[in-house]
Amino acid sequence: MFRENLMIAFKALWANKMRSLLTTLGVVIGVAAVIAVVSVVQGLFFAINDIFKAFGSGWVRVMAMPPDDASWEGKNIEPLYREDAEYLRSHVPMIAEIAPAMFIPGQTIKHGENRSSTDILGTVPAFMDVVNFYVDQGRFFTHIDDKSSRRVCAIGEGIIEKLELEEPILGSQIQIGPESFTIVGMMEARGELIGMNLDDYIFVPYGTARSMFGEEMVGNTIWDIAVTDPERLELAKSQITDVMRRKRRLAPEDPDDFRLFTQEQFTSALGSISRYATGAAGGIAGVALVVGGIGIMNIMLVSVTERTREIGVRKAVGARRDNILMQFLIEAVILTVIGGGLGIALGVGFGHLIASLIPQFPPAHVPMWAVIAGFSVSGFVGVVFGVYPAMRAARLDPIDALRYE
Amino acid sequence: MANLIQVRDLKKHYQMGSENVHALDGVSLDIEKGDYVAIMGPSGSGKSTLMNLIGCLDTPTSGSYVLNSKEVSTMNDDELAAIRNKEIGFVFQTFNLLARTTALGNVELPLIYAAVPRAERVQRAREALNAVGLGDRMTHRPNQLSGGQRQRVAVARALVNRPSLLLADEPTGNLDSKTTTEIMALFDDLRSRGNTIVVVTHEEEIAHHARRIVRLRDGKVVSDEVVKAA
Repeated sequence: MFRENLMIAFKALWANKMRSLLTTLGVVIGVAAVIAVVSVVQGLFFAINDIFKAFGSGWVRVMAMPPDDASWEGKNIEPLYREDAEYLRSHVPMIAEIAPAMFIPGQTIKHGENRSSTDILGTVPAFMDVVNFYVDQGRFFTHIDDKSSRRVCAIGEGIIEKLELEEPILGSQIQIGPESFTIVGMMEARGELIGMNLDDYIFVPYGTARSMFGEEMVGNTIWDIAVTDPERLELAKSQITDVMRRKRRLAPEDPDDFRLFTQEQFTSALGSISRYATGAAGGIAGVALVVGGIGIMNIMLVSVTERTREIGVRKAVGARRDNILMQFLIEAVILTVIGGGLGIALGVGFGHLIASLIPQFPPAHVPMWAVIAGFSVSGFVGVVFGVYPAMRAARLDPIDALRYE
Repeated sequence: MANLIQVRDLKKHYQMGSENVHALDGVSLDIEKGDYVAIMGPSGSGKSTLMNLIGCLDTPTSGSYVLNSKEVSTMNDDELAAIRNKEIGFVFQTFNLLARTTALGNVELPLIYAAVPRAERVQRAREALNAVGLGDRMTHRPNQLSGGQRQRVAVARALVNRPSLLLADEPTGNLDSKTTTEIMALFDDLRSRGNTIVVVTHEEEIAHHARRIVRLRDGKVVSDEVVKAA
């Protein structure tokens, strides 16, 4: 009986192709909109997630930051000194490695006739391991470079283009601010992510940065830490917090004047952002689907009226009420599910299109749950808005129906 | 011979606004298996109402109707639908075929609602179409068939589930005289094969193909005479 109803449904819909298509448009648009938004947001989510995953699950970043409440307004925040990093390492057994890094934005760089501007990161050799970002050619700096504040640097791939550097790149001289630096290494390509372009950084030894830019830049310091046991990250975080509070002489009732970041925080923050965006899209789509559903109900009512005679004949030869009900309900559901399928296909296309049109945007990603949800919700709309017309059809009196012109 | 149909004091009343219309006002009737009966009457006589009741499309206000040993007058919708499917084959004046379906598909319809599996359905529908002489038109749609051919498809559909009763409502009303003759010959043939036939008509000529004519007026039987020897 089900198979017969399917065939009847397809035949009826196909007989009125244009009408069926227009009727299902609301569902198509609603589903397409959600899928497009979800795929774009998910693509972003995945790409950012990948970047943070690259840091590894045992990564903790410490930054000096005021706490949220107003009690700290106006007070100065004690910066993160390098020596304190050493103290932390020796007092927290779960720290495998700690890499302080000093962030110096917008420095003028020159090479020959070419001029540009870029961000500098002063750091230590351990940086590469902790952050999982390695030199591709040449070398990173050594402890001696660091201690001696030597004017050497490792450049991101993008710098080559910025300053139009020519082979051989290793050993060339570039000017950073007022000083001349030797390029000793080239970092691996990492690519862009919405303005955060790892390929555009220049890396110099921490000691060098400190000697050039002085203490005023120390406020831009972060510490990247690799813990010994990523499984027990929470324990490591609490150990770090305890030692930091002691070193920075915070009273028990004072809030932390620093913050710890882990990969999980970024991913959960991203997760909730993407959930909000998806929820908003879902809300809008919900409206479209309700409107679309009403349209479907309307057309199904028309269809039932048009086929009054046919319903009478079916009843005369033995169709029961639920046979007729099922026939029309299945027709409505097929209509909406096909609309859902079309919507998903369109949404995937739009998602990819949008992602490719925004500059530096990662590719869209369509999660399986969205596809399943798209079909299920469409089917559900079909049931909800198809049941009334189907019941009307089922309740027709066969004698009246047979007399209908 | 056993009574296929036993109608006792059947009444059907409607409320039309403030008036109570007595469409059928106490009709009693017996029809044996294998009989060929015509029901006649002017409009308003209640013949359509009687046909609807005999055909189990409706239930009476009062009275009893026993069809093939089953008391039908008190059945609910689903039970009536099952009776229509198994016991009754309808033939309508306007054929009432499904326009977008082939002849074969049309004939299969009662079998679909009888939950007959596909292979058997197609087989039986083919046989029914062959029996009415349309074996070469099975895949035609109604709009590709003449009026007479359409009515034959309707007859095949009416008989495909081997019902006890063939019920025809002005079966030749939309046909020319030549085709009318063909269809009435088909009915004679069906009767000779043992089918019980009830025809509702207002044409004397058609009625006289039957063995017996029952005439109605104002919701009552006014005459019931045999017009043919067996």
